[in-house]
Amino acid sequence: MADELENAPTQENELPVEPKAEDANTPINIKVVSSTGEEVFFKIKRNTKLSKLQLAYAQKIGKDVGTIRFLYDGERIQEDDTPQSLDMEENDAIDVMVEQVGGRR
Amino acid sequence: MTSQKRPASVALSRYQVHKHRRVASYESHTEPGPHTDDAVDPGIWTKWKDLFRETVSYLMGNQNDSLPRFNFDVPPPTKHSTPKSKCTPRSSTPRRLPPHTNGIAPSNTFASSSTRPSHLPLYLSSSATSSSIANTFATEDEPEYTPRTSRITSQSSSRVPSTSISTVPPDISQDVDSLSRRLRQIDLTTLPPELSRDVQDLSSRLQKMSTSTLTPEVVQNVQDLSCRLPELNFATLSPEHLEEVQDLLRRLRQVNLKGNGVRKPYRGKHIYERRHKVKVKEQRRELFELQKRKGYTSDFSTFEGHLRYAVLLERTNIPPGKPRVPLDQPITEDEEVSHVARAIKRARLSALSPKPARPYSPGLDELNKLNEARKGSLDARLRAKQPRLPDQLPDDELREVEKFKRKRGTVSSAGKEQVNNEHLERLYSPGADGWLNDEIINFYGQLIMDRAELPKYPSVHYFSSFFWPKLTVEGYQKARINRWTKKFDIFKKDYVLLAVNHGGVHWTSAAINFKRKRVESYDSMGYTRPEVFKHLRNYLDLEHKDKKKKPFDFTDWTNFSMEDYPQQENGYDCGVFTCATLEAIARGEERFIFTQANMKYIRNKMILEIGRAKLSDPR
Repeated sequence: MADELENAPTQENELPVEPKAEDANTPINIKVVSSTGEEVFFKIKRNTKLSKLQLAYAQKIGKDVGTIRFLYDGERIQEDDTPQSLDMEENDAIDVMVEQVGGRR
Repeated sequence: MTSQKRPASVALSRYQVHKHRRVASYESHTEPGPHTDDAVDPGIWTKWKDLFRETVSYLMGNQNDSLPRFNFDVPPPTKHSTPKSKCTPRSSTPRRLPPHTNGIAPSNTFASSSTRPSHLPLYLSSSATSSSIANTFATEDEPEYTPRTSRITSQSSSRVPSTSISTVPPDISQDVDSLSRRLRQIDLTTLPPELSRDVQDLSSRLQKMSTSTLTPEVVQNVQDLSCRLPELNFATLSPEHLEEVQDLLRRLRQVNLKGNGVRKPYRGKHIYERRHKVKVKEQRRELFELQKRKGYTSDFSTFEGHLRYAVLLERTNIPPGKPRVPLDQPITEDEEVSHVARAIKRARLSALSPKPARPYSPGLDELNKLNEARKGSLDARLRAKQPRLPDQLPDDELREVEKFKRKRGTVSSAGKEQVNNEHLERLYSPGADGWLNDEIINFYGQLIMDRAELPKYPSVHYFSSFFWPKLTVEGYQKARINRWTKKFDIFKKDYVLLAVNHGGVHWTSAAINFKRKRVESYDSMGYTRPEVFKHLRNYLDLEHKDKKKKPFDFTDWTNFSMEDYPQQENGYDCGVFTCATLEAIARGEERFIFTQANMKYIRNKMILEIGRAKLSDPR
């Protein structure tokens, strides 16, 4: 599964690739790093909502999006966050974490 | 001497005839006044005198011919000294004396008189001297207690030893017999009434002496004889006779009744001496038993030796000023008796004194009760200082809580955190469904950080619960944790708070306390978390190097975990404990007043706070 995910980003560049510019439509490469250190690369436009990326990632790994958390520099990524709003740069990483629960040892 | 004896036998027949005159003579004896006539026939007096001489001589064991002849005209000046000198050889060699040197017939001729029982009561004189004899014989029934020869002690001084009955030669007994016989032959009619009574009395006494073996009574009779002689009516005697009789008496007193020549030092016995000795022995035994109870292990004879030693030792303890007894002197009975009496008193005091109380050793129940009481008092003192959390929210807030529970979808949002109704359910679901997840925890952490913006609260940063797996699994560099603090300086905060999830089942809280320079970990299950200390210290160092370009100074920094941190009592409240702890730390609290009993209240309060997206004011 990890291998599939690794190869996935290159095939999944459905988002339009645009020349490098400060334009909001300029695509940006973002990697999603799981808690086990596996990385999945995405190329998205700067003004595309990251929730689209989250859904795509959840689909890829076959999990409900409600059970995984996406963090950028330690902060939760919200519904309407975009790479632009978060000042994301090329090859920035999004951490994906699984739900944590606890009640007793 | 034989020639002097013969005329006396003539008067034998008349003895019985005048027997009845004794009463009259006794009466006249009490009143010596009328007997002033010198009617004593010289011949009779001579006989009477000779009889005494014989008595004295054989009792003293002297040879007849060595006895001084009575010379009534010229009293011999050396008379009283002679028997003394004769007395000593006689007493030293008693057996050498021929049994019948004075020609008295052998004792078998008086068989009839010798069969008389020697213990028959004797005639007792009414005079004062004889009454002491009466005392003597009155106690004859208990021979052991009878003091012997008490009158000899008083009359003859200690020079004359007491009689040792077993050593008196039997021939004296025979002589006594013959003497009594001859006394009976005296014609009492020729005597003055007093004398005749005395002679009768004397003869009867001597008869009672006449046993084959000398008994104590014999000795006593002889003594009695000597003491009765003064009862003679001296008024009727001529001065020469008087002197003669007095001399006789003196010599009689010196009679050595003891035959073996060994003079034993006289030791007078008290009439209760034997009883006393028994008592002393009993006392010793009693003392022995008392000491045995106190742990004395040896036998009685050893104890007696010990007792003697103790008495001896006591002499060394005589207080100064009192007469000291040299240690080489034998122990007197008085010393021993008084010592034993005192020792018994002491031993009884200690033996009968109340026993010391047994050392207090409480049973398990008592110990538990004591511990409970101690704990209770400690708790009471500790809790008295602390405000107690309420058991439940006020009614209006409870209604608000119910409103939040009914909400669907996203219930609340704060900062970048959101909580929807599914996550919030965990706060009011019972049992294992009540486990809190990262959404609730991190939302609550966000609320804590929001409140910390207020100036009255310490500055706080809360790291999301994902900080811990990032740091520990991937590491500071790979997880790019340095970017987590790109917007602020962690080292300027008062507290850095973390919720740490252990293995997906347990929440604990951790803090970096810059105020007190402590790395803190709080586990509601009671574990000290060394890995928390290790990783947080490592983080501090790397973060400092990253931001400040030099290692972190850990001087004075300690790891801290609280011993009396509140503990959860079920399997699902650890997340609530964690949130409550972080909230309290963010207020600068160092004590946690919540307990398991407050969990229901805290859960409702958290729903309220999450629903309001604002922490309540601490109560």
